[in-house]
Amino acid sequence: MVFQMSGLSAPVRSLRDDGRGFASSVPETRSGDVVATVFRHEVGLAARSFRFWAAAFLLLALMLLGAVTSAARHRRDATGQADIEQAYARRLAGATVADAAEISHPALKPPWRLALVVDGGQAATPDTLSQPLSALEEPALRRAAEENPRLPAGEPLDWLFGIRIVLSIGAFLLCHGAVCGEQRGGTLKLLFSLPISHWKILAGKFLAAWTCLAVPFLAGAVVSLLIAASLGDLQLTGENLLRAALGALAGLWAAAFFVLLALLVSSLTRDPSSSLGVLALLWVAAVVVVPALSVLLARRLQPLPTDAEINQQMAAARLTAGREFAGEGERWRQPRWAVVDGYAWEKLSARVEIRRAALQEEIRRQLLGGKMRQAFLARTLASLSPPSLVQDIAERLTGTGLARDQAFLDQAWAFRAALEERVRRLDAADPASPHILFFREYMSPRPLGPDPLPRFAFREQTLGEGVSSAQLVILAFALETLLLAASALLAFTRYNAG
Amino acid sequence: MLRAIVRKEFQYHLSNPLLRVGMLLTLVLAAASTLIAVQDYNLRLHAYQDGVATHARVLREQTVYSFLHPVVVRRPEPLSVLNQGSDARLGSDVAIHLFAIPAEATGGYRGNEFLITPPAADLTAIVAVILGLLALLVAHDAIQSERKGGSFPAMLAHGVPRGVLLAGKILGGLLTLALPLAGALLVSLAIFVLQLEVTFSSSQWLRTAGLAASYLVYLSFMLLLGLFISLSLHRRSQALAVAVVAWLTAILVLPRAVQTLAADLSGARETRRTSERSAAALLAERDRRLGEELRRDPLRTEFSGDYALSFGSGENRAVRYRFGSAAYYDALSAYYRTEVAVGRRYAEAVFAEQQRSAARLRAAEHLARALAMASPASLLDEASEELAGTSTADYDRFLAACRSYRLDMIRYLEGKNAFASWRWFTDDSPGRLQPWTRFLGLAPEEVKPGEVRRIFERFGDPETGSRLRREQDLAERDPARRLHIDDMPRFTNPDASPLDHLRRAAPDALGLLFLNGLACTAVVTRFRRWSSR
Repeated sequence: MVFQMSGLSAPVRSLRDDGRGFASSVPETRSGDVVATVFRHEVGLAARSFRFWAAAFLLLALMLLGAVTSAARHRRDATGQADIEQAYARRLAGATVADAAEISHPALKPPWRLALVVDGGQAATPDTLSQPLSALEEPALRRAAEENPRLPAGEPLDWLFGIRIVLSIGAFLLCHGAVCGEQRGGTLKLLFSLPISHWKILAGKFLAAWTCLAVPFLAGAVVSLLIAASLGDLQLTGENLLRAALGALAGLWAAAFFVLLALLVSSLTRDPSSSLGVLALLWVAAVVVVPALSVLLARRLQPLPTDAEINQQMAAARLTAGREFAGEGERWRQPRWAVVDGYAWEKLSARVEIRRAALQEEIRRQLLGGKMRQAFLARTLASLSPPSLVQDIAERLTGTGLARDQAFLDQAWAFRAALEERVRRLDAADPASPHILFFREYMSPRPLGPDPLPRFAFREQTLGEGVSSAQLVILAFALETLLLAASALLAFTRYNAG
Repeated sequence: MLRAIVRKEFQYHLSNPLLRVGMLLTLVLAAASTLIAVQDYNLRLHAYQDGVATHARVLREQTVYSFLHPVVVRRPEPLSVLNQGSDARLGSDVAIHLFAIPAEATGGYRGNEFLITPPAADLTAIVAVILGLLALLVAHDAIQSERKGGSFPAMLAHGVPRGVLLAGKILGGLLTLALPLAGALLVSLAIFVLQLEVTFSSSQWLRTAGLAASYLVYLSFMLLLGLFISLSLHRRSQALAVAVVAWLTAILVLPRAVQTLAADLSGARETRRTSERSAAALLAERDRRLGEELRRDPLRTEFSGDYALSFGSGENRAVRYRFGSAAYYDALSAYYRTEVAVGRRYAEAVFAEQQRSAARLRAAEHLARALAMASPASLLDEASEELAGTSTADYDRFLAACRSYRLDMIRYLEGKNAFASWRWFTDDSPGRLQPWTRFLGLAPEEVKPGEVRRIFERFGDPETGSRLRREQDLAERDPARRLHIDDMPRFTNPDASPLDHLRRAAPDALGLLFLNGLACTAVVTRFRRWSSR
């Protein structure tokens, strides 16, 4: 077979033209040299390709846009929560102990400060749990800042969106022809004819493609952090930077995974077009099909009661409470009239209402628990797809996602218990109070005084907790990556370059 | 000749294993998303039916007009299974009463707020993303592969006109794409028939046909785009790479970026806050004026022998008094006439304020739509929302029907003289009044202001107390006290005609057709100059 040197690709030329003669040079060629040569060649090729620039531009544009929109969202959420805090403070100013029973005490989950890294659903899940102490009022779980209801809620353009959508396709675009394309061009046969290890060629290709993705990603990450910081919505503290760095690491690891996948598929096909087609369908399966099926399965395996069933349960709770007290409830008089018989009716009615409210609150909490379990199951099933697994890792490491929602609910319920205890003590201190808790008309009319009630302060997950909760999923992804790397290497070394 | 080329193209594409896998994925996804959507629809339908039944039951139990607040519930749209649009996102319940003009709906079944939304939530999204990609896969090397295989030069040499060749390519590709589209539609419709708890009307079938047509127009554009790329680039892999970048940008990234931009940067929250503050200020002013009016007559506020022993209140200024005197009820009647008049005036002022805010929200929506025009997927989504009846225009139509119903209700109440009669606030019969003093054997005027408390303490006597409780229970359960509302107007929100839906979908559908025309012209021009060698 005759090769025309001018037609050889750069790595082959550089391996042969080292000035010492091909036969003597090859055994002495260090692994680093081969890898570096292939790396330089591949990077050079990528830098001249439309695919690289398109992917890099798209990734950068998305990350910058994500920084701006997440800052706007953060500000909007913070303003919405500040409104609630102010309204609450106004209600508390000059309020009596009795008023504290009917005031809705808000527990607020602060806007997620690293939403530009990984939002983890925080832009959509409820962030306010308003809990009145009175059994006659219901708690309300909602979002503090309402969006424009006429517009669909936009999917947050966080780094993970860029990783799942653009970085993955970018990797496929860069590497789909890395093996089969060279085979078509004839250069792979020549490369394989040289006495160099195949893994070094693969390593060079891998490192080159990974670098081509990592550079725009890291550049986008740094610039988006700076934009968010300059807009005043993100403080570049050590902890925030460390969490962002963990998010970036997850992105870099994902990029490596996608490159390995593209190299594997390219090593299993004979034609770049088929390789890209297969990768595109794999992408569709991983990013679209698996999450859709996971939601379907989660809803089947962990069904939620319907509204009608909940209403029935609520009605049954009311009946149960009424039966337990022989239908003696729901008799309320104005205090000035009820004092006549020492609030006899009201004390009984209060016990019925408290029992009813406790039963109904149990139903509400069970429903919320069911929703969380369903959501966790959907996430777990979706983790069968590597992009969703990366999302899961990033959420756990940075401290967002469903775990943050669960923590918020747990802390908000604990806050209510603390509030009840405090108001109970304040009411007990007034001997003139009828002490029918927590019914406004029958409690102490004394003023609450300055700063009498505990305030809700959400405790974020610590970095250590995040790392420890992510261990299993990290292990799973590490195994997937290793398996993929081994498969890619095996497929490449056995590739028929002829 | 054309038929032969179309058949050859169709068979060639079907032999491609990638396309077969793509078609299979489409079917799996269509089945999964339709199952989820149908399940959601059925839940929303149950919530709607329960809501209607519950509100009707509550209405029948009302005993005074001030509590007569029919709650109108928006019926979920069955075609939301094909395009969810804003059908489930926007509220569904509107309480009709004097003191507010319906500006938005609240409540409704929202599902699990913690559950991730699947990326392809309905058939429209599947067509846009997956079939859009398949269209590019079909077309990206349709021309170059023929040239490389040598079949083009041969056909041209045999006198096959270029136009026929190109038409064959396009029709063959479209036929190939119609196969998974028809499959996905059939799977969805089969799930409808088996699981959807309603049957489609003829209008809904027509609109479904319109949706299928809009999907095909979209796929035709994606196919033409693929052909243009194939004509413009010589290497197959290069053509596919460019096609994938175009798909990634136009179908996946652009619509989401536009949505996020519009949602986060449109200042909707500020607009709503301002509007809410203005409305709250107006309502506070109203309440202050009404409070002053109530206090103008001491009989209405001071605890006396005339005062009603039992008082209940509900949302939207609903009140119900029992066991009061005639003098007390006359005084209240004078007040409630004023409250109704003032309340209606302030309702209009608050509505005007809300409309100003709604106009800003609509402007943001229009901006988002205008920006999204750059993406064919967004055009498809908008057109199919209008055809499916799940657009914000359908929601606005429902609100307009609610406002019209409110006027009907006001006319009905005026016809019943409800605002001027005692029945607005009490179900005590004028001929059989039982002021609380009667339980103690006294007439209201016999109780002097300074003695009210001392006399009232006599209810501490167990026998008197239990007699009062018995009377209260009797009044609560007395069916004769209920309002007769059989002649009350019924809410109607007639379905828009298929023509209306088509008219509303026309701008976006025309946008898609325009893109098709543009792409077709570009492909034909390029193909004329294209050398087959």
